[in-house]
Amino acid sequence: MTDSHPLFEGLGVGRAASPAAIVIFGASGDLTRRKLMPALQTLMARDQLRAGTSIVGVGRSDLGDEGFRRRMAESVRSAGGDGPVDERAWSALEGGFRYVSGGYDDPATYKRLAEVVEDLDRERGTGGNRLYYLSTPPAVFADVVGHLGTVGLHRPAPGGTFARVVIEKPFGHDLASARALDRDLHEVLDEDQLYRIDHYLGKETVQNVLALRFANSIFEPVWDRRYVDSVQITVAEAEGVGHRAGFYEDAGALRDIMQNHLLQVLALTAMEPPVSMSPKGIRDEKVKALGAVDVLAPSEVAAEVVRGQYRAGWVGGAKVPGYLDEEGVAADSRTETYLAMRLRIDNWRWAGVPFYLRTGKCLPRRVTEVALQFSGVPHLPFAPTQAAQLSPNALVLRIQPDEGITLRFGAKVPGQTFDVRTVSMDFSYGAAFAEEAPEAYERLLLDALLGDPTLFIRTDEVEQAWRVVQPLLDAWTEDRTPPAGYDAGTWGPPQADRLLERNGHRWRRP
Amino acid sequence: MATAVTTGVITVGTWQECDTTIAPVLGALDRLRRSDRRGAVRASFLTLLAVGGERVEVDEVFDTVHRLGPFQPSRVIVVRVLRGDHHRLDARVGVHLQSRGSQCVGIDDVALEVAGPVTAHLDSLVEPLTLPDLPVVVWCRERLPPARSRLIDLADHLVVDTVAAGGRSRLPAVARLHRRTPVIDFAWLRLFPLRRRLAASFLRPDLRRLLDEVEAVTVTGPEVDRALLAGWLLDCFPGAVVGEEGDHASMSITLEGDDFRMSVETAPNALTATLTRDGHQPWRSESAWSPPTTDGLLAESLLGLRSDPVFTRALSRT
Repeated sequence: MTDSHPLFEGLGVGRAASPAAIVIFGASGDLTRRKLMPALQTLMARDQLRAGTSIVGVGRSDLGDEGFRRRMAESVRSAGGDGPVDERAWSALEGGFRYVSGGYDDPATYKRLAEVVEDLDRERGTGGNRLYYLSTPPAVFADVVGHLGTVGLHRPAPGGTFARVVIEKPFGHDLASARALDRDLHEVLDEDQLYRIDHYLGKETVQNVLALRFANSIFEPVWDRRYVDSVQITVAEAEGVGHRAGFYEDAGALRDIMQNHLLQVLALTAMEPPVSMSPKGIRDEKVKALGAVDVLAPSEVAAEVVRGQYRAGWVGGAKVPGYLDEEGVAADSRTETYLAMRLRIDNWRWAGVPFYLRTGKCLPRRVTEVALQFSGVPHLPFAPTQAAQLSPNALVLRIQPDEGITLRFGAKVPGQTFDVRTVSMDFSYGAAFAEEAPEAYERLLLDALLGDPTLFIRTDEVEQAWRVVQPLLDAWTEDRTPPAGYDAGTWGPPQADRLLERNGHRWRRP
Repeated sequence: MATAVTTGVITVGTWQECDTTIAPVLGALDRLRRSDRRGAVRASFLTLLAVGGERVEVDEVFDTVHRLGPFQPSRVIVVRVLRGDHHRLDARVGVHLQSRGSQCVGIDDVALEVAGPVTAHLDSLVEPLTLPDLPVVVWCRERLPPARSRLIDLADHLVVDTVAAGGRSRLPAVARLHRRTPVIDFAWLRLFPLRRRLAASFLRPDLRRLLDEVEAVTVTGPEVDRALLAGWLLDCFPGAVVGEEGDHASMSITLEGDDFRMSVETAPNALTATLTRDGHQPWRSESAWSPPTTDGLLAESLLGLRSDPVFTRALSRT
């Protein structure tokens, strides 16, 4: 899947994409400044983008080419901690900044865009290759794609060029709207032109779940209901809603994290071995895993799901306001900032194993992890006092921060007595590899340019994920009960503890 | 009693900032660890949190911990709580390497000086700094944590010193803490040599049976020691009359039966055991002894990391 040729062999360049016009809708937004532009600059610095690659911003602001270039330069500088910009990479990109000012619903915007990218083909040799990145509110996805279709920008030019569209989550706000969005997008684009991005899948450690499971013979044999007692997946954020209240009020933890990041990690954890690491091989198995999730009946939601909302508290030594006191949040908001649920996966591998999922804002620390807790031994031949410090075996995949893997098992405490205590065997990415892992957006942008959709979400994955969470939305529409309160800086409401205690489990302290 | 040893600690890098937040501290730890490839191999033992007031000498705590050698925690966090109403958070980070035989492992020090309202929410400062999947030991050097402190919930074990924390009157509070989170009390660990000596004095089979005939027990020593010893012995000899005498600097335990008297006591450099029995020659044994150091007590606490059921029972009888 490399866009290269034999002369590059042995030069250590690795994967590199042909020159293209990268068109960013919403170019004056936060994502472009914080993630996209720094990622593009890094890719260029690593020779993974070719000279001629150009970046076209589209937005309502009246920036102009020079204003856009200055803003992008600033974003690269601030992403580097005010360190030096990679001059060679920057000079390769510098002449390729263009800006098209206009409304997303204005046909004139797209006519100007068509002229700009055709000019770039001539001036900078982008060769008709287009990558459209929709960093816009989801409500305009269909409009933008429709207009691209109207002016013919959605079609690859003859001669092996490409036209691909990357869209950012959320993909719909429920099952019906996700289906409607897909219909609209597919009226213009083929599925293989659509790259639905979930940046979690670009993280090295998320991808390492596949490596751990399917490149080793020691884990897969115990990766099932015979040995695994329960699975916990945690996506915890220490930050509050901040300046995203406008978005978050509508999304909540369910749409912001659970429907996408968490269920994607669940799918990678629970899926069957793929026939190959091809995009189809992996995505087919993820869809099957999500399809095996037992959808809760509306009557089960109250018992199997806990939603919470943070109150004022302390996180990281700083006082934070309660959610209802955040700017832009309705005084009577019932938006959940915390969500914990128990899921069942009804298939041969996982029948009877509870999957506990939780996510929340204003939790004590930022952490994402998957923890498999294994069943106990059939018979423990130690006196209770000897094994008092022994906890169940666990395999913990730390996705962020401090990426790595921990295996927890019992070992004899050195000494004359035979006491057994749980110890950790630790693998740390930082210790094992000298290379810095690429940022998620670097990986995903390059994949999209190269046409590798493995780490992007296919339409049927989106639909399966909505199928899992739709009953929650339905139940909450009827249920006027406010979310359970929890103090910022704690691990969520006590109801979440009770959710596990019913099965004799407890949440890990990650 | 575990012995602290001095081992070479090589500093990989340091960072400090006044009026900061936890995010830069975490960033500095990550950066410093990655700055030296060897430093990236993290020790996998425990996180030790030492909390104290203005009198705490931060470097003294680090020095004490670094002297623990093989018992050196993977990360040591020292929080110095300062007086004052204004918010203050100053941080200092050190990442070090320590040789353990043929291995070289990375260990971290974090010093925080805090003042203002955050001092009532230390858990929010500390929890992000704890290492996942390793026990968290909270060392309360000067005083017991307030019952409402969430630091207690953060801890897998609390290390306290009832003597430093205010003496005998604090034992009920220690007992309450112990019911919530296992407590390791330096005051209890200090009694081990004396308890071991007493136990060893009854190893001979003909003396072993005397333990069934103990009618009276007398303990002397500083008040906390007396109380804990009395609690322990009450548990061991439920039928005996247990009394405490005086407020001596040295400790002693005397067990008496109808026809015998066994006494062990501390002297400046020795532990002495004396037995008198009707119809037998008096027996006396002396062994070298010196009061355990803070280093040794801390090493003992961290090595065991278990809830001592004998301490639990003794405490319940104080």
